[in-house]
Amino acid sequence: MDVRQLEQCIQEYGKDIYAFCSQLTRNRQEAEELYQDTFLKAVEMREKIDSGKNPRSYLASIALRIWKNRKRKYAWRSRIARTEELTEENMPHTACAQELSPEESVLQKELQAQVRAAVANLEERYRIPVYLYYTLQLPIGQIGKILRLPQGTVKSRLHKARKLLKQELEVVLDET
Amino acid sequence: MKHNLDMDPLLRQALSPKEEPNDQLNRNILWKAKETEEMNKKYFKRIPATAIIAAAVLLVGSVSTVAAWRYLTPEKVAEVLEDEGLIKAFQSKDAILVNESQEYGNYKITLLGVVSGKNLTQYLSADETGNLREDRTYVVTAIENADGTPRPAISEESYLEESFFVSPLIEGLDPNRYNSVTMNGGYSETVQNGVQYRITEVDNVEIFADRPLYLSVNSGTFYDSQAYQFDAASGKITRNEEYEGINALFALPLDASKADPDAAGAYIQKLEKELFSEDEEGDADVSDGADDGSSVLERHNWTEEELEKNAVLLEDLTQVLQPDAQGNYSYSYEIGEDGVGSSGTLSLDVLFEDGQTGMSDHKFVIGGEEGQAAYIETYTLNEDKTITLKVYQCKDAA
Repeated sequence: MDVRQLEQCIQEYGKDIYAFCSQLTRNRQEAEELYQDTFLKAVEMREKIDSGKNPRSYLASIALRIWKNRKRKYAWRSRIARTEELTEENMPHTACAQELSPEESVLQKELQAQVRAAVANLEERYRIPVYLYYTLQLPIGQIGKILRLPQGTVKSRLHKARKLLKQELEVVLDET
Repeated sequence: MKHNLDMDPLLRQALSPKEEPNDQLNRNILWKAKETEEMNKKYFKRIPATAIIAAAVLLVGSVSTVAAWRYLTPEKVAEVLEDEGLIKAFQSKDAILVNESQEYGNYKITLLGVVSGKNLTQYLSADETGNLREDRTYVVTAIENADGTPRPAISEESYLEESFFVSPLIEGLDPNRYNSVTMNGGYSETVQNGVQYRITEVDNVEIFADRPLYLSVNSGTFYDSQAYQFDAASGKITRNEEYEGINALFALPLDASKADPDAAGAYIQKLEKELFSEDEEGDADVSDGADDGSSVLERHNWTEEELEKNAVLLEDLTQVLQPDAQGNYSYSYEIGEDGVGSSGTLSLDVLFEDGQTGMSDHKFVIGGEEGQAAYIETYTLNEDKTITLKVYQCKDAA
């Protein structure tokens, strides 16, 4: 990827990759660092991005690899400095459909916030496929390649994740 | 109140990207990428401005200091580049002074010296995870015009017209893959008295000192595979006599007692993984992940007969799926209490060729993780356009 392709990729996939980076790190500063380094790494690797390669999937795999390498560093940093954490308050919310009443809109926001929190609390083996599937909307095959897992394993992890989330959220909603 | 949540749309809504990265962040990325692109073109490690000023001063007043040796000594080159750590390193007993010249075309190249070790300089670079590259080899070379005319000063535009690539090479390792670029190299450079001095640094190659090492200097900004020949059988690296350009090749005389075959092996493994496994990882079919030892690919390819022989049909899970309004087929099932299960939406055009009926070549292997049994999903297209989903449990993992 050269600088010209980089500009196109940022325009086209920047929002998705930024969301993925935010979900991985749950910290604005780290998300911005990861987002920046993902694109710079893609340029450094100089791999040609062509129509045969899914750029979203390619960028996601770079982001995931950098993030995994850095987890220890982030853990260390979080012990020495408080950084702005992406909480439900400062996390962006979905723009509500106009036909929703204000009450429904608030309820929907709350439910979505609970969904995001529940996903964030999943084990990594379930959480990452969920982000790749629902945030980046990658097909199972691509997710399998990124995670180096058979497609069936990706499917069963997604299935398990949905099941765990459903259990978790139904308990939360029953209590409200 | 009992809730019955449909997780799929809920997850899509909650996890869809909502926030744009800010413009300043994107501008920073583009600016840095452009800067990196320029730097890569020159393979250029920036010399601190103070060192450039010092170089200009020395150009006027230091002729007498080099009279005893035709060239600046490695220690003196480090001094010009204001590298206190390397001055000491080149004064130490670990430094190896060479002073050997080769002449090709219009250039005379001289290998002046080499030193290796940990934390030898205050200008340590960091890797992408922020860890300092502490253990390094530093090689000092001099390049001059063979006709005696001075090399252009670094402040002159013509300085960038001719570029050279200096790299330690290791016998037995393909120089296309193991050179200054891949071994995290960089360089600092100055022109003194019309001679272009360069300190090239790479990861410490002393660990390979039980085999021959070389120092190559070729025309251009990167390693040029046309300039040298690598014999994969013997591991030897030689000059290509037909090459039109500079292709100097020196023996790099490192201390064999510093060799560390274990560290060398680990380094090769690490570099191979970091640099050369990208394509393989990205494009390879996945054959691991199910940890019961037998090949997932093999199971994907099982015929109906092989399925009958090697797996048990879980009849309770067989479902006949009807297409929805969009022509897709949705399903979901659970197996036992261990959480193994599958759900999804099938599409005819993905699973079957035009006009095909019977069992699809596409199968999914489910489970098989952490001692779980492995299961195989199959899909059979019936004449009435329904799909029969069958689930088999593999016998070897049961």
